[in-house]
Amino acid sequence: MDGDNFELDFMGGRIKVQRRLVANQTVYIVAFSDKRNHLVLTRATADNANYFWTSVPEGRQREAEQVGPVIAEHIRNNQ
Amino acid sequence: MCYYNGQKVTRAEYIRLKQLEKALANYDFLNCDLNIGFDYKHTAVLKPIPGKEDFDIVEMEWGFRPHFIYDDESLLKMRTGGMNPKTGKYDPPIIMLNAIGEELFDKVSYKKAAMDKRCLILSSGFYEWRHIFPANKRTGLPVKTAIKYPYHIGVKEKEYFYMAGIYSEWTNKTTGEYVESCAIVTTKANGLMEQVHNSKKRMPTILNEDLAYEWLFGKLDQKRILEIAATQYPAEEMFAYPIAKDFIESIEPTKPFEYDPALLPPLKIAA
Repeated sequence: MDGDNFELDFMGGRIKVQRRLVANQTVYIVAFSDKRNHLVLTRATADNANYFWTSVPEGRQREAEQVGPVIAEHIRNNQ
Repeated sequence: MCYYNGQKVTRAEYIRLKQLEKALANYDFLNCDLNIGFDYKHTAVLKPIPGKEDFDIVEMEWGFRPHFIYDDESLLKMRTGGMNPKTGKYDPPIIMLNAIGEELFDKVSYKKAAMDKRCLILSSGFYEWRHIFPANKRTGLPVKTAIKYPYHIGVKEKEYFYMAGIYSEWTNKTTGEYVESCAIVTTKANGLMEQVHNSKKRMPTILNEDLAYEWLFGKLDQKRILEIAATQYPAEEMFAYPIAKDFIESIEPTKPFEYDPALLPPLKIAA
């Protein structure tokens, strides 16, 4: 897949990820192989200046924390 | 300090994330002026999250897939119609883009969805054809075949508004493919819409914020569901104007178009 679209192993399955620029901010749109809806992720900054992955809109933080690091690792490995 | 998704963030970061939410709400499938129902394309839908007063914005296929349809082949047969080999008769196509509000509980296809799977369909405007029967030059009587003029219709001062919808969670029994699809609930036309959609005198059930909330999250009985489904959005809060006849191919389908008023008389209530 091209640079803005990639597939990753995730929890025993595969996920499809699209990287998109929305309102000049990078978001990752994740499609799961099960019935779940697409998840939109972004990296945010906590008040202690640490980064964290979060879902947009709110409500799927746990999934964001699971998927985000997998995407981050992929980005690191492909830089 | 503010919290986003349970994480403590600065106010500036909170605002950035909220702005991103709004940008995403307008992104891609929402940023589409024209969705032609017969293409069975995807449309933006607010779908409740079970057990919460919250929703996801998702894409669903516009064109309800009823639970009794087995697979894509039988779906296509339903939608296109054709000769029925068992009866030897022609089965007309069954189009499930719209669900008549008054009949939600009379139809096997819609009954369960009306009770348990209500959603809101986001719209920035919709299209209908006005039928005009000009006088025959020879006889002076109205011609039999109408001349049709397309209109763009929306809600004044609202970039987006909500239409009542119902959805189905359908699984192809042959392939296992899972598809979410929806239908727009319709009601009797209000004073504006009965002039525009003057052939059928129907309109989508447009809901204000309070009714939209109730439709999405309320634990409603049949009576209340039918009451909300019958909502007629006030004509004076809507607009309608003619557009070009080739609007479907146009890159600006909502651009107003002026027809000769002798051919297309103005509406009595218009923006």
